[in-house]
Amino acid sequence: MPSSTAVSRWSAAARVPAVVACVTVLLTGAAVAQTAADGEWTMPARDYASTRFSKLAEITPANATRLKPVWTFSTGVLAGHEGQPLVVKNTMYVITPWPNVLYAFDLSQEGYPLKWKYRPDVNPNAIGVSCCDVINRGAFYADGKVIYNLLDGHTVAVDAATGQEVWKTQIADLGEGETTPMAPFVVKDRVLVGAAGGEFGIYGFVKALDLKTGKLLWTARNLGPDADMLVNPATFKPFYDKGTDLGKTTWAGETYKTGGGPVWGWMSYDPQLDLFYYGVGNPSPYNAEQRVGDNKWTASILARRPSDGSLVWAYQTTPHDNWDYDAVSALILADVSIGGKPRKALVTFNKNGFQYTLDRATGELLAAPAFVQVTWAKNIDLKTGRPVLDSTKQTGASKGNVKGVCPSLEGGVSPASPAAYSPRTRLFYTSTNNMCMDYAAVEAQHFRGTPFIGAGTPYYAGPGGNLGAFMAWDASSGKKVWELKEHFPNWSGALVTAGDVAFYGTLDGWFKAVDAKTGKLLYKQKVGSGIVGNPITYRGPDGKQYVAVYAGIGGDWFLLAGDVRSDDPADVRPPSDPYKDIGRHTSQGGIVWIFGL
Amino acid sequence: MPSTGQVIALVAATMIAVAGCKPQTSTPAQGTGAGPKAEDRIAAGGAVPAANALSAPRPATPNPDAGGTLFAAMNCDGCHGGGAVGWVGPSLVDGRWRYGGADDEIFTSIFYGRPKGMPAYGGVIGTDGAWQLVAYIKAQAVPTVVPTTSWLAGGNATATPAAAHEGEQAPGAATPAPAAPAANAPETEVPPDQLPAKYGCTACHAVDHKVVGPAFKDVAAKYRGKDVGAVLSGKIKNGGSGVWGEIPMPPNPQVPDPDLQAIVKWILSLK
Repeated sequence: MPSSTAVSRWSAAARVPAVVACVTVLLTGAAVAQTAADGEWTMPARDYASTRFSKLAEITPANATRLKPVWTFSTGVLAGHEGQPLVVKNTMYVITPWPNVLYAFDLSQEGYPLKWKYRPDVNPNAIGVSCCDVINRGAFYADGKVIYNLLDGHTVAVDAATGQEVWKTQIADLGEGETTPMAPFVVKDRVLVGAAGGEFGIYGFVKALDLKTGKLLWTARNLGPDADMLVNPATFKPFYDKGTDLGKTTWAGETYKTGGGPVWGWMSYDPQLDLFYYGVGNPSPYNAEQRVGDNKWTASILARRPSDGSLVWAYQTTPHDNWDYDAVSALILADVSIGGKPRKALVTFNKNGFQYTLDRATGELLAAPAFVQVTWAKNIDLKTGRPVLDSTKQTGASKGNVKGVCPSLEGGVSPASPAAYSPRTRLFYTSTNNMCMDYAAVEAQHFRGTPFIGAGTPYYAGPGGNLGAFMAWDASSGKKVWELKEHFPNWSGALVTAGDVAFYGTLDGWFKAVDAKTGKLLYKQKVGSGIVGNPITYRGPDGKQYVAVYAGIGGDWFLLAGDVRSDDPADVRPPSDPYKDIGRHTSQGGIVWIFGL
Repeated sequence: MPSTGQVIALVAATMIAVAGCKPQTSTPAQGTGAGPKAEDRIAAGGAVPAANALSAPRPATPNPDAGGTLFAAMNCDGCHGGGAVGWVGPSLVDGRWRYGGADDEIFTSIFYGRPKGMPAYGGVIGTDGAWQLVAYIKAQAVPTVVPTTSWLAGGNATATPAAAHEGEQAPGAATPAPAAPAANAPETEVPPDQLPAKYGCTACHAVDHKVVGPAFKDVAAKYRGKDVGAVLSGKIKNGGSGVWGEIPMPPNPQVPDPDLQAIVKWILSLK
């Protein structure tokens, strides 16, 4: 049932008169600009390296036990609340799932009243074209604008001060099965966006829009011939794969044209190399026998130039993906010691169960240990960069029901749950799922705008019986440092701070703070609905550190299958089999929470 | 809570699909009162449904089994789940309806689509196909709705304490259930007239009338007296389009060669 937890409606901090807060900002803003920026959260993962690490250190293991809720707000939407708020200039920006309302809260006034809200007209057909739920993964603040994607294939820029729409550009087509749940990513004057639709046989892409006008500047396909992929043979230097038109020749016939390759996860940017990185999702359909070949560059990590979109390197994590192992998890740029040598690395926890450490300049694979139970491959060959497959776990329509594939297609970690990295502990923090699946592929046929799947894939718990966990991971040694097992799949993003506190949420609706070094639980609070969003932290107008997170279970229908939506009584279902009891602990919701000391 | 090695199926599994369609032009439904404006809906396969479909002749005995095959072949289960129990789209077997549960209302939902993303399938499956789907959906048993879910002792729900594992160490690895042997060859002798059903051909083809693809008898008539066995085998295996219209025949590489030849021989024998 919806939260009825009693909490104070406003914090003491928010009672500071607005005029005083403004003066404080004016006096200190210029002198301590770096510090002011440290107190904000302007892009999905806080920084271009996607660390989700904040330098704020007021909340520590010593005092986190005194955390308490200071404010809540109902978004009015019942759906998976993925993503995270932004905090810029004492204003908190919240994007809801479809219908994608943008709220701007004034943090300098008591009760954080709205400055404005922006209610776009979003085509309801997007609901049915979304594979899994009508989620949104957040906004990006740049150039005085809040930029985000509407689910129906539009990118909008809204004036951060006034709430007026600055521009709106269609970048995807619902009629093709394309939707747009990802957060845009802004590099210099480029707004980078992509579309979901790996379950609808789209021809996946990324696009760049002009930050000022929203005008389309370039489109790069994630698969297909070099011309479509913006591959210049002179400057495209993949570390392992050589040849031209690899995005076409690694597909049977013309199958790449409905080959999927969506973009619905997270992007990163290295200003020194001037490369942005993103993951490409699964190939379509799930029945891999209809698309013989490696299916490049689906289930791959790509590095491109933001200016013209040209592809610089690409690395395929799952060649000929026949388990729906998208590569769209968070790509964290960090300096990692490999074999005693510091390397400029890109670290990612892939759905396929391996943690990849790549040289982010070249795409060379440096390490790839398994971080959960893996059965589809024995290991990743560091010389070839390719998985060493288990022949008994390869799927396809002719192979019948292939049992015991781990991880399940929900991933060893869901890409919806971005990891965090602390340069202080040198550890990565991430939710994980402990699920395996059977995979029965069948022939699928493509009808534009309808699902293009062809597989039945029931899930069940992996070894240990628990379905999820939250862990700290050392990428240098490829080992788990500590782990907190969770009863249900764990679906929230991670946050870690210079106070050495890590934050995450659980599917049954607990928000938790733990010691980043030891994993010791410091604080937990029930928040009314399961957490699939990503915690953030910021400095309030009162100078104090706060932590914010969304509650609102969803993002994949299996997470709460069987629950009855209060706003849709014409839909009653049996509970989801992997864990029939989730409905005892949580229900659908949409709540913004803020915690403080 | 599921224990180690316990295998539990997820209710909403996604499945199948068999026939195909490219955009084609036909008259959009407008101003008829029989359906919504076509531009408000997503046209499955890009094919806009014909107007006034409710007043078109209806099959005397729509076949629920053929509808069930279409339910998978047309990707319905990709949104409504296997068995229509609900996935990203609502359950169709709970006895509750957003847009009405009368035959004409369900037909309209399928043929013209609905505004929350239900595609308009009329342009792909025609009125006969839509009525078969209605027959399939209406043939499903509606479970008794129990208004109370109880986790008390003796209650009807599964009760499990949550967070029982908090702080536990990682378990040792165990191997899940072993894989079933793969099947690649026909195991048993199937009469030729039943092979089309076995390989899903009947999702789009019937012996004596057009469904999505042409009637088998029409195929036989077109090629009577011609040596086209190898050509038709290739069409079935690799797919094709253009002979019978814009809707493409999908590739069927899963059909073993002996069965493929038996199917072609059987089709060409029809009169």
